[in-house]
Amino acid sequence: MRKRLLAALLTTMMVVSMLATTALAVEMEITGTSKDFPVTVCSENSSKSYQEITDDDALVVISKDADGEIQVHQNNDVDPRIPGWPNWLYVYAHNDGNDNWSVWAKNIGLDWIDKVTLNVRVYNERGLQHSLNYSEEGIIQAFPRRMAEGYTRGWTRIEVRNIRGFDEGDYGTIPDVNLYR
Amino acid sequence: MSYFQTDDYDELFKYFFDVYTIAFTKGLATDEFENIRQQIPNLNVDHDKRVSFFLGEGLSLLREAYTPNVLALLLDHLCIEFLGTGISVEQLQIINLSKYLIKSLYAFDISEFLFMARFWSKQTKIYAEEHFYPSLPIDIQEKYLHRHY
Repeated sequence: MRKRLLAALLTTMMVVSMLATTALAVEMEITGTSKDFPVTVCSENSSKSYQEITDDDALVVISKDADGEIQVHQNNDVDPRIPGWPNWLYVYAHNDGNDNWSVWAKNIGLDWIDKVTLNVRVYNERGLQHSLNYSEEGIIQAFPRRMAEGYTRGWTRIEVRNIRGFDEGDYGTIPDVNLYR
Repeated sequence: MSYFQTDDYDELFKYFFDVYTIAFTKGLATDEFENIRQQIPNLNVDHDKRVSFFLGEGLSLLREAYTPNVLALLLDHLCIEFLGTGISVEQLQIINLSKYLIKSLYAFDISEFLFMARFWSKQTKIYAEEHFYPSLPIDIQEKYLHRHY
């Protein structure tokens, strides 16, 4: 937990720019919360907007002031274990222009994500050619993590399904991500 | 010199007829493919089941979405495991043909397989006419077999 806390603090400046990017670039649906320690995960197929953090008990609170500037407030008095500490997960499929494909997960939240699991289904004109489960642990902020890569001759559709982000013993899910060719 | 003209090769080609049919009509990641993958024929030369092992393992690699080069590497790796184990020349020849057919399947280029008809026995050709060709997708039948409905 200490390691994760340090990581969060050291990357504060990075987080600010990241949030700005998030707010501008991603229209996402926020789903899949838990009772005590939510993991909020997002996909590219959503409609709701970015959710601002205002939890007074949080170790780091990010908010906007009256001028619209993003402010970062640090509270050193609270326990490192942060109820409601939010994570965001962004998952996308990538096509390199030929029959190779890849699936990436990007942590666009404030804390590490313990684990991400998902299922990838790849079709070509002859049917379902690949259905594979993948899991990656320790997803740090900002840097995309390659979750899966593969080759399917003449692929026409990639479905990323059952996407789950795990953190603090809980998990959230996000809608499927599809890529067509 | 005639190649692939034994009962074992007949059985092997018929097995791949079914494998190709499922791959081209259902897909590699289906229960149908898994079922047919496990129905490996009993070959006379395969007394110690090394060919069966290769077919089972080799076809299972198709599900992993490796690139063609990686698939070829892993198939070669499987073959190398047999070196020095007392495997017969006949078994190695069947494994070699199987490797070729697996790689052609992964490329979804059925023409490679159909061009091998010149090596099929008379019985295998008749079997293909009656069972294999009609089960292929219509566009393949029209393009490669000149069968128009």
